[in-house]
Amino acid sequence: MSRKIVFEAILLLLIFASIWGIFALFPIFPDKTAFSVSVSAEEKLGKLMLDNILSDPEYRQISILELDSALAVINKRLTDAIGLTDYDYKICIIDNADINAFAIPGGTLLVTAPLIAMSDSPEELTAVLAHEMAHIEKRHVLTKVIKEFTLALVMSDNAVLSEASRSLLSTAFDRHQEEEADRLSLEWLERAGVNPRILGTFFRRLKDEVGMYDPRFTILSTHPHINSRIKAAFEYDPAENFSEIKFEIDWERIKNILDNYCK
Amino acid sequence: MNSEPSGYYPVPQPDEIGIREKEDAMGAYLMMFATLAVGLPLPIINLVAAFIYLYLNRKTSRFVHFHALQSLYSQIPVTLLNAGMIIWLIIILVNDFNFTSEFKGYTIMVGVANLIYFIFSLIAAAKARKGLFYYFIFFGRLAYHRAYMIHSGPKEVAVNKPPTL
Repeated sequence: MSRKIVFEAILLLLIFASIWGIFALFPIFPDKTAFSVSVSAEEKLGKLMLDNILSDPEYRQISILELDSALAVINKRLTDAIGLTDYDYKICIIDNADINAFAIPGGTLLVTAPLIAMSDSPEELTAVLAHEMAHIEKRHVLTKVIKEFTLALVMSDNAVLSEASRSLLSTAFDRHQEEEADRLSLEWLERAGVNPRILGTFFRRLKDEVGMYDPRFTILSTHPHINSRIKAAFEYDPAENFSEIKFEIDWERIKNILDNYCK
Repeated sequence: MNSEPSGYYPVPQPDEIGIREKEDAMGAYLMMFATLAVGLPLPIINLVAAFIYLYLNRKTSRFVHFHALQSLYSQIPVTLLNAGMIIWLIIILVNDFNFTSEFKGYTIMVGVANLIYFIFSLIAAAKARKGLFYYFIFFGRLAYHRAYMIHSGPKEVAVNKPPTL
């Protein structure tokens, strides 16, 4: 009797362990959930989320001709450096007290006015935008949104879209995703003729001038592990024939126009 | 036809089992489905309910006791597998959202286990209603062993004694 019980227990364990092992070794689902979502679906989702964010009076979109022209030049330089891409990148400036830059599914990048005010040159802003574009290209943003949607559904949260949109503004990517985005953006900056080390310089200057614990300083809380990332940017070694091509943008004038607009 | 193994009580035939016993035996399986929904997403409540059901019916009859035990025993691994999946899912969601192939394989295995448990429980409930036995692999033998084995050891008789003066 007991021998039969033991035999059947072992048999059951073997059957279920085999099912687990077979389906783990020969997966029938795609590896990355985010990559199974089409770009057009991602763009539609992005539009919904952008509308949701912009419906908040604290996130008013700013449209100034000179600033938009400058951003178009930066955008063109970066997208040329990226090469073939599924996304049609758009950059929006937001009037908000936080110092922040973040990406929305589908290729829209939002930058707050104080972040532009804190940047010394268009190259510094380019470095931040390159990093956000890398998050889009690697589908980190979409992955984060799917994660928030799933969590909200598991927790039976009613305001799913709103919660997921807000998460883009305030939650961080994981360390692996940040490192991947940094690596990619440093390569793009080099190709775009922007000194890649400027990413490290900008983050270090922000950290030193404003400090990590300023509540407005959202960009550092949403981009953790800052010290190791600054170090990685400084250690990046561009090719020997790399030559920097400065933007022909009067950055101080742009900042003044923006400053006057926000007042 | 199998004869009774020695050291075990004889199993009753359908016409020897009362209608109330048959319904109680069926209830041991059906109760799980009702409590399963209450216990989601961490399905522990159904396990607690199974223990309570077993406790309440432990003295009614061996037939009911067997079915309640079989239902409980088969439910323990399924519950643990489900709980494991939920915990693993939460860990993935709060960390890197990386659904590994190990997790996907585990999810399929848990799905198969739940499906088998569901089908076999329904069959067992229907059989129990007719006063029949239905032995699950492993769990059936274990439940039969527990419910029908004759405990032949000397019974300790409690003796009252006066206090030492």
